[in-house]
Amino acid sequence: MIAYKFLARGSVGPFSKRQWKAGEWVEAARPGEGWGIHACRSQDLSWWIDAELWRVELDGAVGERATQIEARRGRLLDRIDQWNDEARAAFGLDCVFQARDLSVSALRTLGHAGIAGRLAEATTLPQLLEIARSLQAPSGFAGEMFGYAHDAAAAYTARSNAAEASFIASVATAAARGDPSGFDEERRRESRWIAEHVGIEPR
Amino acid sequence: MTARAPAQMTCRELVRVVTEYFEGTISLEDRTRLEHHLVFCDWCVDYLQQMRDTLRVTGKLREEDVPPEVEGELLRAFRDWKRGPP
Repeated sequence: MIAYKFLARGSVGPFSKRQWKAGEWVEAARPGEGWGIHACRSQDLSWWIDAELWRVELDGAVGERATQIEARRGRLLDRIDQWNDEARAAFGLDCVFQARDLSVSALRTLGHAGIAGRLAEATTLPQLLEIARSLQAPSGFAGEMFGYAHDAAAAYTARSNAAEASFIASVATAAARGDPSGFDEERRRESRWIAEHVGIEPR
Repeated sequence: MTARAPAQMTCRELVRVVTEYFEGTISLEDRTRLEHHLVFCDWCVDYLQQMRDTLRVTGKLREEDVPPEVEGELLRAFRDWKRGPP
């Protein structure tokens, strides 16, 4: 089975700290569910982002779980070059503006069209941060929704952490829907974004 | 923020289960939740690395490596800690 795997810079497993080499089969660390070689389906991509994205071959029976799949052994086939620092930065920005759009929509519904309109004017990250910082947060749920746009812009400006921006957008979606399942809904949108931008057939 | 997504692990919860994570006794569900958290939380990544470094360094210590005065001081500190605040 062909799947996908994110690795840290230098082809290092982000949790196992294992050094991967293209073409070399890697066996499960130990028997039992959870100790195998982990990989992603296209719909899992946003849960595991890291510096490098590889196509992997999994061998034998493949166990499927909510956000990953697992096999007894696997090997790296080839690196997906379209997932690079620029793509990761673009993904992070998309998540920041997704959080902004959710804030704008909620603020309009909640009767804060002025604040919503100001946030909606921003077309760049510095603009969004400047506008968000210049506005007085409303109280209650409107304030919470305003906060997601503000926090996403502030956090991404400070740390450029695309995964953090993706998390904030996912929480903002759960808040906007009033249902924790909104979190997974946003993760699926983000996974589609990644798949489309790196040439993986989205599911 | 995580009240909106209660299935997601918080930094506080991660600190609580980190020993089980290192020992490999954590449930698969919690391990997955913990690793989801590490993907986006730089602070917890640093915390785990510090824990790994501490375990590596202290794991090399033998009983005879600890000077008697340090041993005495540590034992006093542990006794005081067990007794609790005065």
